[in-house]
Amino acid sequence: MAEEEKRTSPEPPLPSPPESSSQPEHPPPETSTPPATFDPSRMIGIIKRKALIKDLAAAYHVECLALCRELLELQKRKDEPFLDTKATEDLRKETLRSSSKRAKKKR
Amino acid sequence: MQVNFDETCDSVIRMNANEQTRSANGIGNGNGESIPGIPDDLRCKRSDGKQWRCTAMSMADKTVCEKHYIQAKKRAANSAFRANQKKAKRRSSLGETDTYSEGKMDDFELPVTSIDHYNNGLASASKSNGRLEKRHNKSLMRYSPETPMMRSFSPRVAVDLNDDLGRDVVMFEEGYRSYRTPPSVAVMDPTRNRSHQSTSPMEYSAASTDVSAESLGEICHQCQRKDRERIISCLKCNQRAFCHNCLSARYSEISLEEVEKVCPACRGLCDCKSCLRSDNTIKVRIREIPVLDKLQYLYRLLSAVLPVIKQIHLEQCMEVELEKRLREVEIDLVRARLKADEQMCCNVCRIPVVDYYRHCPNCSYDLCLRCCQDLREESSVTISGTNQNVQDRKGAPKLKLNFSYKFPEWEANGDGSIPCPPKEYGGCGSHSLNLARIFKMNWVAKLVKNAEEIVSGCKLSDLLNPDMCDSRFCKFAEREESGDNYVYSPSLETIKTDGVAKFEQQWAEGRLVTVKMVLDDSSCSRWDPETIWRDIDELSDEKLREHDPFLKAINCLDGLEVDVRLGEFTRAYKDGKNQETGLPLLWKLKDWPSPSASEEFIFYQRPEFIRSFPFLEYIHPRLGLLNVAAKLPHYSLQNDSGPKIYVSCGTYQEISAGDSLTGIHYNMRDMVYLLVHTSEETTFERVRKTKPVPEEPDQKMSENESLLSPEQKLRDGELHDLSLGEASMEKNEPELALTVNPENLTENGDNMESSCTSSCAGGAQWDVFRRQDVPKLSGYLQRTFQKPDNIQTDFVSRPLYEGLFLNEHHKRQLRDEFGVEPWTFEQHRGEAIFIPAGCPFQITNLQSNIQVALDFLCPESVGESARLAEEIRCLPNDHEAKLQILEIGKISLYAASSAIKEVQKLVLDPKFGAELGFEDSNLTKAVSHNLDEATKRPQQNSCT
Repeated sequence: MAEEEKRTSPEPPLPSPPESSSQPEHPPPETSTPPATFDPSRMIGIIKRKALIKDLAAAYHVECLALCRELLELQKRKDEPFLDTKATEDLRKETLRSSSKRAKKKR
Repeated sequence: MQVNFDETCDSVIRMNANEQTRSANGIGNGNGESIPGIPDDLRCKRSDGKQWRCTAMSMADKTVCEKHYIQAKKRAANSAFRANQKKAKRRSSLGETDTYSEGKMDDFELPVTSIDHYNNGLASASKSNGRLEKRHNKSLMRYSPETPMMRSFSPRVAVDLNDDLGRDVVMFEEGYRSYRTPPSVAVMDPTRNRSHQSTSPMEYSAASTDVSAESLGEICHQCQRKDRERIISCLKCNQRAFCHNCLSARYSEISLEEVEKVCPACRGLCDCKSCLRSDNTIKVRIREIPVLDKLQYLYRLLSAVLPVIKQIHLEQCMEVELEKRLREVEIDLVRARLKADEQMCCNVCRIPVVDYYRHCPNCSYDLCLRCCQDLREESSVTISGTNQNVQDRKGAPKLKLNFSYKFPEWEANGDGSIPCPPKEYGGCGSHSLNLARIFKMNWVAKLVKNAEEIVSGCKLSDLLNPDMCDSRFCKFAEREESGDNYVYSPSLETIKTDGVAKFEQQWAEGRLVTVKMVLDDSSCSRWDPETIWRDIDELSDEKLREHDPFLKAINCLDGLEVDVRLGEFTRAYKDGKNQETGLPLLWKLKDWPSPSASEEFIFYQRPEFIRSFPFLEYIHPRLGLLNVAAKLPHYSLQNDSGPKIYVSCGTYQEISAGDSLTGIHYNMRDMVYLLVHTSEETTFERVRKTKPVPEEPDQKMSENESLLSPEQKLRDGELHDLSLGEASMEKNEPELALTVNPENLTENGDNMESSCTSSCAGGAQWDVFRRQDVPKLSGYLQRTFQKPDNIQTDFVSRPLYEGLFLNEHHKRQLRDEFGVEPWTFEQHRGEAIFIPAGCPFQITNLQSNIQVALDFLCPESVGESARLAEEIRCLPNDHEAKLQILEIGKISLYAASSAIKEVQKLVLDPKFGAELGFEDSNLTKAVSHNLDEATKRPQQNSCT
């Protein structure tokens, strides 16, 4: 009888993970749930935050490059407003050069 | 024509350059360097090696896109099919078996052949060129799918045998093959230009081969035959197939529908050669562990390892600051280029160096940081601020080498720098040693930072207090304190329900664990010395085979080493006596089988060991989750990790001259001993029966036995028998341990265990001491066994490394004077004993027996192991314990690095997101908001 009681005692901690997974939706997520024995939520947050920061840096980099290209185009149009054919040829050459540079870096 | 050949040779040269680049990266990985991340991770990695790269999106969990993934799979299947065809032909013609070493030799010869082929291609005519090309294709197809090919790659890539990394190796191999294929195609069709169109004939030929493969049928994974009918393919792994005959013969309990969903190999039940050799069973078990449990294990590993790497980092910072002050210039430490199997050892204490050390540029003298500190303390040199800081943090008296005794003329300089020792001590006497390093500059600092983040980011509530009245605990000692007399002794079936949590609780407190009935009686018959010898003999080379080889053994009567023939030892193992003289022969085999042969034998020849050994997925020497020593790179030099087999003779009859025993000793690893075989003969029973007749004290003992039994029954549960005198206590103590065991077992109500215990006699008697009793035990040993001419040192635990033995008289003295008592019990056949690091133990062999020993290092034992490493450092340089010291610092660094990578991989994997639950959203809210805004802005720009 005593052995059965002791054996059943480890079972109640098992249902607590689904409870903890459902609870943070309703109350504020800052509160850590006491019945859970292992709570890695802060660690998961730190690691995901670092990954998101990397993605954000990449996105900022892409945005910066796009703005620089746009600025360069505007500058060229301002300098040579009536020579459209030369502008298109320059754009083609620049795209080729930039692609070769990219390929070299990625190799 | 010549122009095409030149281009082909240029591409070959580039391939060689690529190989060198990869091998350099591989060596760098071993030293802790991290490969710089590729910016676009989601792009398909298929490329031609020069300009072109596939622009498609890569699949989830794969490095290539769907199109190239399918292409690679088809090519692998076709090459495997052709290789099997060649194998079948060669086997039918030659009748040979393809052994592993043979495949390995062929694998090494392959690159040389390809290079020679291209060189000959320039000089020879077109016809011979075509023939050589065909051979080249055959050799390529023949060896690419086999295991030796993968093994040859592993020294460069420095891959430990995780399953995910294994897939990366496969992808690497496929990528490597894709570089070779275009030149051969170009040579076969010189008229065509090398472009993307050159791949189309390969695809066409692949498609035609697929059709022929389907018509011939698949190959059974178990018996490797393709002429079977009704072959069932597994839908889970999509690689293996099993025929109906093998399924009904070996896995009859699994239905055919179940096999089609998950095959026996995916369930971890397959015993075929390739699955055993690739440790498939253990990998499946590790894969099935839930993600939260894995994170918890990694958290516990990191929290255990963090103090060690913090200490390493602190010492390094101190030395770097000192070096900056001395040189007054920004320093760039010289880095030692160590090979994979090399160790950098200190010239003074002979302990392997962890990352930073001091080096003499003139005579190559090396000094570790710990010896630098000891030398400064001996020379009364105080570094201004940091030294006090170190002393404050230590708090305990520090173990150190006695430099003034060993090197009386060697002193540190006044500014803290250390000169090279004088010539009589092996140095050159130059002014100062330079600081140097082994790993990357900031590797340790980054490890400490990341480990601290991960450890502080988790919360772990206190574990439940262990119930000492649990039915699984057995009483092995009679100490006055109530807590420590019981030992966790589950059976193998109980472990499957309890899991590893109970084991961890006991391990955290430094307690013994025994597991009963690991091997049943039927499997014990396969572990006798002759069978072991026969099976190991099959693994060895033909040159080394002998019919009756000489083995080294230790004679326990006089402690000398003897050369014994195997047959002679086998007879002594059975009989325990010399046939001619009748004197007992007590031999213990030394270094047989060798560690590598033991590992091959146990893991690949005895699948029941893998299936039934408790906690093997946690303590495996290479794959174990909770084995900190398993995180080292697999090529690193660790003297004798892995399983070992100990074979020794023993008798019940006590001999005063020399019993078959193992002296009391320490281990800085955790150990598990499994008794796999005992030699039971009726002669011992006769000897025991004749014992009481000739001597009077035996008659008294029998009288005491008759008196004891009713008293013992009346006082069931009492810890002390105060009515008994000391003399009767001494004589009957082993029997008390025996009588207590059946009572506890009957209380448990486990009839199986009690019947097994009563039927089998004990094979070995164990005495295991607690960690907290070590100082008193050492004091007693030093007083009792100390020789007067020995030079006294301040090193307290020294006697525990000498291999002394405590008999009953010593144990009684120890209990009376110091209150120290070991856990004393008998180990039965099929029983496993887990001993934590730092617990001294000794063994008396009651029968001839064979033990399988496996060493591992749990996270809970890392601190104890580090403490023992400091003790072992102060031993003499020729001591055996020092030669086999565990590199606890290096192990901790690699374990931390591996655990950090594993945690990041688990957390960032999207398919585990549901299991992990929700992260702390405050941390990621702002960044994700900014990321959404950043991704929206380009759309606005394009609209404008």
